Parts: sequence; structure tokens; C-alpha cells
Amino acid sequence: MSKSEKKIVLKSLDNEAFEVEKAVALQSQTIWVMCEDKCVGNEIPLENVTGQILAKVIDYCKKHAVVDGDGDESSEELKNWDTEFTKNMDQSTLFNMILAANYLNIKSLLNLTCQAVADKTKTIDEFHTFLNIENNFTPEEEAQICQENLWAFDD
Amino acid sequence: MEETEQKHNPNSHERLKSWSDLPLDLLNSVFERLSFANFQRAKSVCSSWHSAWRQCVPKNNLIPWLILFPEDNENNNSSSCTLFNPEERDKLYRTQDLGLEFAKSICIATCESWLLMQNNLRNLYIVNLFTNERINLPPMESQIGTTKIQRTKDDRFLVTSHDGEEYRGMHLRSAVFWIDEKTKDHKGANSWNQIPVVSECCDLVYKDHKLYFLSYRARDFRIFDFSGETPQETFRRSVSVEMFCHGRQLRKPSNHWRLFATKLVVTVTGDVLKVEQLLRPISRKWSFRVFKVVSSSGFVENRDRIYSLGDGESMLLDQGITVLANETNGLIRNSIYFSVIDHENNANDTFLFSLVTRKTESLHKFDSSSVQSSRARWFLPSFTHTCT
Repeated sequence: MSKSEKKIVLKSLDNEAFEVEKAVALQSQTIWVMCEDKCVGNEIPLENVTGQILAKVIDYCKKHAVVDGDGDESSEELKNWDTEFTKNMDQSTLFNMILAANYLNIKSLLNLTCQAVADKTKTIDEFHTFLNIENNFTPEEEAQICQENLWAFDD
Repeated sequence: MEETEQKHNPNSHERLKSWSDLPLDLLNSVFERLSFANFQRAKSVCSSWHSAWRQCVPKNNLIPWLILFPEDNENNNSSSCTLFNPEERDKLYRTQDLGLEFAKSICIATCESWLLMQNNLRNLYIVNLFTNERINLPPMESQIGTTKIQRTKDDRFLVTSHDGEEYRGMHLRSAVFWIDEKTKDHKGANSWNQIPVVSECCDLVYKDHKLYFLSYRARDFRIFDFSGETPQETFRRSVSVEMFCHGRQLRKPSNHWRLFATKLVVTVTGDVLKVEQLLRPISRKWSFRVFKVVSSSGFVENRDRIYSLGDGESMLLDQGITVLANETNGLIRNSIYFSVIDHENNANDTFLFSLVTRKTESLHKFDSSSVQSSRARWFLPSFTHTCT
């Protein structure tokens, strides 16, 4: 196999180019399908992912490709790596990672990032502040939901 | 970060900016990973989450909460329960007031957020902790098959068996309680049915449409499949159960280990365990012996005693199941969570037994000073809203 066949260039929404091993990139089902189609050259444009997010996605894929390639799952180490990976992500990064994982169709990354959001939000205020969501209920709606939900409002 | 978000590529779809706009399937992926309490909170976040929440079918919750029942005494004018979630150690929840009768009733089984209660007249009802929905079950006095149960004047029971023999008093040794897709067909039912030919019940467990039954005198272990129209026996073998005779041992006080109860437990992987619960009556010390009776493949084990639960599991003895323990759910692995019902004092108590150290700790230390309860029990709160 020639060098060019083993490597692939991923191009982000903001025109940042990343050269990666094909094995790394093919963890994305979306990229896999694009490569199968052969209608793209060595450069794959990813219109929905920024360079900043794509760099993180590639980090994740590199880590997971290496471990899978070893045949040795060393799952504990990988789990710790995953935890560290999402630990300090802010909500905006997590949000874009979820969208990217979904668009690129990398199931394990989608699971990991959704889990991270679930783990990082513990109270309604955290949903509002961490995720930066506006409470847009009318006072009437809010009163009704409170009524349904009394016991959980012990926050 | 913000600047990358604001860049707009004419070729791309319109970029999403807020968690409120997350597509439904992605929102579901987040929702189904939320803990029980947070899932309940998620619906109150904003209107788009609220409508997504209504369509989300979450996975079954397998993290037990502790329920602390209201104290049954004159000083207590509130019949609300206190709930403790091991995931949120610094927090206690309170349910709404569940009424005076509830405070005088005893909980004998749970199913999701429903409790099977027996009141001081020994009648059974189920009540939902969160909605306060209540359904009375048929009265105990009835004709079940060839067995007749009558209530006597002093609110005890007279049982007449098929051969005409009479027994005074009736004791519910084991109860299981489940809600499935057939439950609604039984709404308004006013009688009890008997499971075909079982007697001398020692313990029952219900899991995934299967009823596991152990008899104490007949050395009889069976599995009934309840997924069809009528229950089918799908497995049977002999499992010995050591006898325990309350009366004689109580008259002769000694502090030797004695068998308090024999329980069935179905593990995460489907193995069936027989668990012997032992008690030193005077020092009130607890211990356990665990035997594997049937493995998940249906292979009959040779009554092997086991000294540790599978990979990171904890046992919920009241529910007759094991669940996976991990750091996030706060459960301690290789431990047995159990509660003890004291019928005489109308009380239950909750403990944790470690199979590693073989020591028992009382879980009263979870009570904050504002909570006074000697009655507690593990249950698995659920997302299901109603059973009807």
C-alpha cells in the first residue's frame, strides 16, 4: 500500500486540514461511507465540524485506534483516558462534540459525550447554568410542572 | 469557542447553538443516561426539553434508593416518607403526605415506585410513592382454590385447607409484586388466583417475566414463565432448604447462629442463588451464606457455596436481585443490602453486609437529625408514571 492510501486528509468547516491514518479516520462511519463511495479523493471535507472540535475527535479516534489495534483491550486504562478526555470540557465543547460524534457517526464517542453531560448536571440550576439553557416556561406552565414534580424540587 | 460557533459556512446546515435545539434523538441519548432524579428534573428545564421528555422512554433504573417510612406514633403528624439516594449523599427527598393509614401499615414488597402495603387489619393495598395513587387489593378472606380463608372476630384469620384441616393465624412469608402489560386487564379484580400446585413457600423472586419459587419443606425449586396467557412451569429441580423452627429456639435463648431466612436471588447474568441469612439472636449479629443453585445456562450447580458476587455486583436481598455497583451509583460492590421487618414492633430496619469483611453495618447513619425513622427499606424508583 502506498503512503497516500494509508493517509487521509480531513478538512474542517473552517478549512483546517488534518492528515490522519486511514485506520483512525475510519472509526467514523460517515467517513467510512465516503471512502467506500470513492467519489472523494484523499481529502474529505467535513462541513459540520470546526477545526477545534475535529482536533479533539481525532485525538479520541487515535487513542481508540491504537488500543483496538493492539488487540489488548486494557479497558481500565482506556476508561480512565475517556474520563480525563471529557472531564474539563465546557458545555459548548461538549455540545459540539455530541453534534460532531453524531454527524461523523462514531457511536462510542456519542455515548461518551452524552454520558458526560448526564454526569455533569445534577440540579435544575446546573441544567440552566452549565448548559446555558434559558427557562422559557410561562409562570402557569412552571406552576403546573412544579405540581407534577413536587418531590424533586427539594434542591 | 464562541467565535468558532459564530462562523457560518454557506455550505453547511444551519449550525445549532443551544442545548434547547438539540435534535430529539440526541436529546434522548442524554436523557436516557440521566439518573432517576435528574431525569425528573430534565423536564423542568425548558419547553423543548419538556416536550422531548414526554416522548422519551428511559431505561429501567437499577439504583436502589432507601425509603424511610413515617414513624407510627402520636407525636408524628405527617405521613410522608423520606427518600435517600446513594448517588446524592448530601440530600434527602420527601414525598407528599401519604395519609394516616399509611403510617400504620407495613411495606412487604415494592415494584418500581409502587409499594405493597399491609395495614393493621392485614388488608393489602398498593400505593405509588410519587403520585399517591392507591389501589386496594381483594380482601384476604376468600376462597383460593380449595383453601378457604375467613376472618375471625379478633381480626385474625382461620384457614381451612382442602382436607378440612383448620389453622389459626396466617403469616405472609414472602411476597413479590410486579406490574406488566397484563396488569391493566386485572383492574377491578376482586379475587385471588393460585399459582398451580405450589405449597410451603419459602421465598419468591420475580424478574423479567419469570417467577422463581422455592419451597422449604418439599425441597422444591421451580421457575414459572409468566409471559404467556397462563403461567408455565419451565424449570424444576430439588434444592434443599435447612429448616428453621422459630418457636423452640425462642423459648431457649442462646446466642448460637441460627437460620433466620432462606432467600432466592437472581443475578445480573441470570444465575440463581440461594442465600441463607443467619442471626445471633442475643447480640443481633447478621451473617450470610450464598450458594449457587442454577447457573444462567440452565446448568444445575452442585450447591456450590460462593464467597463473592460476580464482577462488581451488589445484592439487593429485598428485591431478590443483584445489580452492578460502580462509583457513580455509590453502591458498595460485593455487599448485601437488606432490611429486616419486625412484625411485632411494626418496624423495618436496613443494613449492609460486606462479603469481604463479613461485617454488617446499620444504615441509620444516613439519617440526618431531622429524620427519625426506625422503618426503612430499599426500593428501585422508576420512571413509569402509572400502572393503569
